[in-house]
Amino acid sequence: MNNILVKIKKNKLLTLVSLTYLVLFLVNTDKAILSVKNSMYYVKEMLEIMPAIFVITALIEKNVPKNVILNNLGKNSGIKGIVLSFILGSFSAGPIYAAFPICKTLIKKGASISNIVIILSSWAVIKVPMLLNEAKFLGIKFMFLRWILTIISILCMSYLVSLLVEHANTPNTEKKIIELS
Amino acid sequence: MDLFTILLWIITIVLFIVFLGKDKKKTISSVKMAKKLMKNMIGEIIAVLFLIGLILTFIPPHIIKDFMGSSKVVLSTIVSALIGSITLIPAFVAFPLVGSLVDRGASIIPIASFLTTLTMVGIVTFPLEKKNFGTKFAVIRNTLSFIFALFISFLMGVLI
Repeated sequence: MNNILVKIKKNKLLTLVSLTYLVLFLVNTDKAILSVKNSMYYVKEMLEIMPAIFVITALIEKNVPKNVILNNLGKNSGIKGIVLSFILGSFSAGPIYAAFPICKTLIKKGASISNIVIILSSWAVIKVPMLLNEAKFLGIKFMFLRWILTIISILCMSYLVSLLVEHANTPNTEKKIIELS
Repeated sequence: MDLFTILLWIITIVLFIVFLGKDKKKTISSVKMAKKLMKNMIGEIIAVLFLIGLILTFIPPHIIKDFMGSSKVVLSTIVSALIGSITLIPAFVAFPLVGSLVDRGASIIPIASFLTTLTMVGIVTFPLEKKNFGTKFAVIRNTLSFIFALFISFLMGVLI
């Protein structure tokens, strides 16, 4: 019983959608069938593309030399640091909150604030599986244009944030100062 | 299968064979990782795909066109950006959903703003971000992301 509750909690949206379909089948079978039919096109398209996308994602994730990147993100890393930050963010698998502990460690190790913003933003926005899926459902032109504009925006943002926020504003360094004093 | 899907499968298979030749153990373990990634998301993916069916059945195309079409583009873009900021679904599964809206006549400007804030602005992950990087960093990054999302979407409207 507890197991089922945990599963429901983990899949709130799925539970909600399933219940809606269940009720709909009882109340208005025609509309329920129509809804399933409307979904089928997208289900088919998604299932066709999904295994390939995830295999590519995992292959890239396993083969990007993380350590080389992590050691080259300091304040004077310049363009190299920017490019490496984009690569690290874009080619890592996992949700945005998986990036938080990594970035926290990086700040401690002396990575610049602007590089951290690039890693966090590209981790959230420019992911390989997302780009592939975007190209599939919205067209390559849409994907490509949004990709370019997003990279430009992230660059502007990383510069602006680094102007406004200093290393001392992040929790890690504050702690260090307290420890030192 | 369309050309894009076929190409993607060809690239995947070629990459797989190349990496297999380079490092067998690592490549096998990345297939396992792919399986795990997929397993983690499959519930949400199925949920959103069947949600599309409900939306397309109960919201007639003319309403989608009225609210997200080109007539009220400024308002719908800002509203879409706000919805994107608070929505919980992963971006990966959002693409078929918004694709279905575009198929029914939604303008790409609000669609682009929804997609961009969905990924860049995290109201839900804000407390976590604040804890890790400080309030100032989190507030500035999220605010700037919201503004740039609007900028990206309107520019896309001009360029596409």
